[in-house]
Amino acid sequence: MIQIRGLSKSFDGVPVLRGVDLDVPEGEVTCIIGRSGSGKSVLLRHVIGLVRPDAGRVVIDGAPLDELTYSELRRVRRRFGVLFQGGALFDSMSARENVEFPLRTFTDLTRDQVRQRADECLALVELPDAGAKKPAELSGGQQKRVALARAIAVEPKYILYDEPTSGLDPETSNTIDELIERLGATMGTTSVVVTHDMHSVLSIADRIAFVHDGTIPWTGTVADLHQATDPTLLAFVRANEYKIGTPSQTA
Amino acid sequence: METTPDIDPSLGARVRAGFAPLWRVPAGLLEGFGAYCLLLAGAFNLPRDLSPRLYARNLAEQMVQVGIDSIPIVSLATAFSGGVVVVQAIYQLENPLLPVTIVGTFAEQSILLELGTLVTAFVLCGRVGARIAAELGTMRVKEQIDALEAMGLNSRSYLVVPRVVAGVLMFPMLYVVAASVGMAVGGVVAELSGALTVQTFWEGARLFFRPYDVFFGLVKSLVFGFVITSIACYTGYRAEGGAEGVGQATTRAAVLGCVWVLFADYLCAAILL
Amino acid sequence: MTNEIKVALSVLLAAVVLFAGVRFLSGQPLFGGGYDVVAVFDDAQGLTSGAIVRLNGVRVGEVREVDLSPDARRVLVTMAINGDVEIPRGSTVQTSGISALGEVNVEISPPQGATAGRPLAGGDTLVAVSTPDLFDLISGESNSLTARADTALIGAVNTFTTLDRILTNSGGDIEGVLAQLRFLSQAATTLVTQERGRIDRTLASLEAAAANASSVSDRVGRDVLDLSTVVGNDVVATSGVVRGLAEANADSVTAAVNNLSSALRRADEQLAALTVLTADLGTITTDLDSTLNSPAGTLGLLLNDPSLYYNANAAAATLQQILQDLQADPSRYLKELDGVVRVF
Repeated sequence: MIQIRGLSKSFDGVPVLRGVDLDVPEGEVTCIIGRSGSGKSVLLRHVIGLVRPDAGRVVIDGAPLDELTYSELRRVRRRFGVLFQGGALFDSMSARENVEFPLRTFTDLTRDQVRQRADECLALVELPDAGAKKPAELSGGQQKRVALARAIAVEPKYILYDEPTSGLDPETSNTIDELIERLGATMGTTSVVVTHDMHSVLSIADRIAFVHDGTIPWTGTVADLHQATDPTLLAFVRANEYKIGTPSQTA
Repeated sequence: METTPDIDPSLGARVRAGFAPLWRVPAGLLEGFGAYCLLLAGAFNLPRDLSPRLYARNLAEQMVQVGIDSIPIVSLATAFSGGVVVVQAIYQLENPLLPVTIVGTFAEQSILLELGTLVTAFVLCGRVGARIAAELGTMRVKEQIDALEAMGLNSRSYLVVPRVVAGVLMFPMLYVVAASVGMAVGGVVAELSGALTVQTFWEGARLFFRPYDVFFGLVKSLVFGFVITSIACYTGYRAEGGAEGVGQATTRAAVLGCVWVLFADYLCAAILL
Repeated sequence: MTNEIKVALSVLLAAVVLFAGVRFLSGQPLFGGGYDVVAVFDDAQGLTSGAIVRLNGVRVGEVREVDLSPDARRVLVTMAINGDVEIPRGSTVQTSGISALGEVNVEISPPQGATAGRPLAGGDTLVAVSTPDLFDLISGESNSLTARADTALIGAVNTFTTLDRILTNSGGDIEGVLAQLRFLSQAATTLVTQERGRIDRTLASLEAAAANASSVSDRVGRDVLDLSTVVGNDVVATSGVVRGLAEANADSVTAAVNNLSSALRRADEQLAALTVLTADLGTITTDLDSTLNSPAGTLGLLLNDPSLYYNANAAAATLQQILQDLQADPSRYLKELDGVVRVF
């Protein structure tokens, strides 16, 4: 259970978040949508304590992050897998080593078990043969998928996705969306997806939080979205649909 | 009778604002120094929940990159400086009143005490310092450091400790390389110059040799190893703003490294000599 | 090759180079450890560990440790000697250099002549020759000076005692002898006057020596003073008798004796002349004595016996000649001084 209460943050005097409240229920996929620069990514970084808020707090499973010591905070972070926007693969390691890294570091698995698990994860992201390549030899989309494999390798309780489908072809996007759904369904993983891709939101989201101007003016389910009256939300959704050029899917 | 002095309430703020440009530079320096200290303190506060194997593996890799991969460039630089010292000594000390052994003495003292450490340090400011800063700077701007943190790793320990420890451990090794190459080339240059034989050169080198000189050189190289690698880690860690930020971090690592190496050189001389 | 192996190899190699380089530059053999030899010094003279040990001027090792012996009377200097160096048995060891000038090192000198037995091995002890420093040199000089002064003064005392006895015994009838004695005294006075400069210099150096080595100078001062007092008393006694016997000559004799007395106080080189003088005086007194003690030994016979006059006269002439020689070339007599001194 992730609870965000009254979160505010300014960078160099410019407010980015101004009092955000959000609950992320367990085992569901929560999508955080909003325009670029609305503070979605900053919100996500607050969730794992990478950014210290000016006001408000984040509570993970009952533990308020601001009251934890650094080593306690690190222990909380190990319940998370994070897929960064650019993948953030370690350049010095091969794709396989990247996936194996958290396994080697945080689990007691034997070398064979680590290799087996890495193979599974690479197969899940449909890159079974990319293991030997360095990140620089992979395309942007491949990097992102390897990064996803790395994020899920230790089977974390929470997975945070920062723009998982941006810059990907529609087919790969669908693969990733399916993966996100499957993880939630099979392992009870709680997912937080920051995205502005309404197409994937409609296919995976259990809950939607709309970030606008540093606050969350609207939350609801996909079904709620059709009854929404918030003008900024509607503008965002319509713009997105128009850009994608396909009508929104209804479940 | 009693008059309240008519003070503009914004005066204090205006005065502060007026002095702000003066304060900004020292404040920035202080802030940077504090951040440097915090980075090191955070880094060497080793988490007990991580396997030493992780560090050992990284340390070995960094020791190869910092130490062994630097041997060729250090040898090259000190070979030339050793030769230059001898040529200059022959030129400057050409005096019928001075024994020719003084060339060896001069070379021994210059190379073991100063050149072996300082030339090595400057070369490594460029080679090791810049590489570390670029590497960490890239990791910073590509969110790889955030990724490490997000996994629950102490990224400062994970990244800084192996590099600094590798510097502290490998710089003395490089000093030995530098001193022996410098002296050997010095002897060859002495022989080739015709002013003295290589035997005379070594005789002069042994004349006033004190093992303490070597100890001093080793301690200095150790200090320089720490200074260069820790400063590079600091500038790399603070990089921001993409490729440009990485470039700035790299430049700062090399420049700050050189300046602080000189300062540390003075401190070592003042304390140890 | 794994990273670990690369690192290990390079570090080990550097350690070997470091070790070999330091030993090479220190002038030590690359292999073979060497051994320790202990030298016992009275005074380390500022020796410190790391100081160079030389054998015949060649560097053979260094001082490892400088310790006081448990009773703090001696200094134990442990020297690390290179393995391939053999120090001959019976070698002497001393410090060289002055600590005020910076470098104090150890110098080992092999014994004169053929080697005596096996060379030194580890753990052997050498007893150091204490290097005389400035103070020691001065004290040594003063001691020999004192000895010489003692001998000369004792001789003079004997002579004057004998003379006194003879004069006392022979009554008031030896004016001729006194005349000679007066002449002798005058000659002695002249000698002393002429040699004043030298006496002063000697005195000055003696004073300097005495000032530098207080204990020694105390002794020297005391001895000289004591003896001089004895001699002076004797001389005064003698001169009192002489004055009583020969009023006419009293003043000049007294003056001469006073001069002699002051000369005695001043010692050194003039002691040689004095010794010669007293030797001749001794001859005279012996003559007088033998004459007085002869079978025909009455005073009247003595006075009537012309041979006494001739003997005394001859002795005086000899003495005069000696004094003239001495004035011309004092150094010749200085060489004979030792022999003369032993007579007394």
